[in-house]
Amino acid sequence: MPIIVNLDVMLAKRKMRSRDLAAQIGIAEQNVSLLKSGKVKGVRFDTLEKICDILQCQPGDILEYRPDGKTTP
Amino acid sequence: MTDFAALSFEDRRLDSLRRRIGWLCQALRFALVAYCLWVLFTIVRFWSDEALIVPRFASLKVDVEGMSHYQRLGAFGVSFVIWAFLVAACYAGWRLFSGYLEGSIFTPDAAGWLRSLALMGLIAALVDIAARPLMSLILTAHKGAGAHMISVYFRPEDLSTLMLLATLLALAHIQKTAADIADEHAQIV
Repeated sequence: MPIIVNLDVMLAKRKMRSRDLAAQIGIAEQNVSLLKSGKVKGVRFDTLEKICDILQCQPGDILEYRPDGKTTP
Repeated sequence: MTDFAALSFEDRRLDSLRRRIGWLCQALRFALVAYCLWVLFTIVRFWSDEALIVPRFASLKVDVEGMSHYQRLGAFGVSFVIWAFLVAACYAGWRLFSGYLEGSIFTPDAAGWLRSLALMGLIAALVDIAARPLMSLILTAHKGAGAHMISVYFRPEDLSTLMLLATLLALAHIQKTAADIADEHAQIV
């Protein structure tokens, strides 16, 4: 899928664990793990808003569009 | 199914649904067991008493007087096969309502058990209708040539049962699609 989730990168930058993020957002840790690995069909705006608020970042820092076959520059 | 937990009763709407249907599911589970036992009891009682069999078939204009034990046993065997399909349908119903009680409502499993319930029920109802001429043939086998009877009849209750079970089958297919949609919805975090 060309949409890449960089949540793990942001978590590492903010030195935050998935468990803490899940607790603060109010979703299951399992779902945060699935989101990190990109195994989700979508992200709700309110979830995205909470993630951006907690990690102090923009949606673009978490989601990236990378056409199939291309690598990060 | 995906790695996502199915819609659970953490959802307030589902919790409310469970409270509304919980007692009904429990009652239906016990009713299914009672129904199977009751049908078995009536089958055994009917086929073990010639005094019940003769007038019943006489009302259908089938003279079965003088039948042997083996003929009765054969007819009982046919009834038992129908009962076995009924048990399979009731088992599917038991699993379906148990699943509902555990919170497995909009899941492919629940849709599958509903489909099994409807299919087994339909098979039982159709075999029951098809077995009627067979039974009359078995019970009149001792009669001379030309006196063998094939009784074919169709009751209004048969049609209502078939319609109800066909409706359940349609609902099972609808629920399967609903479960797939719910599964996809659960993949949005």
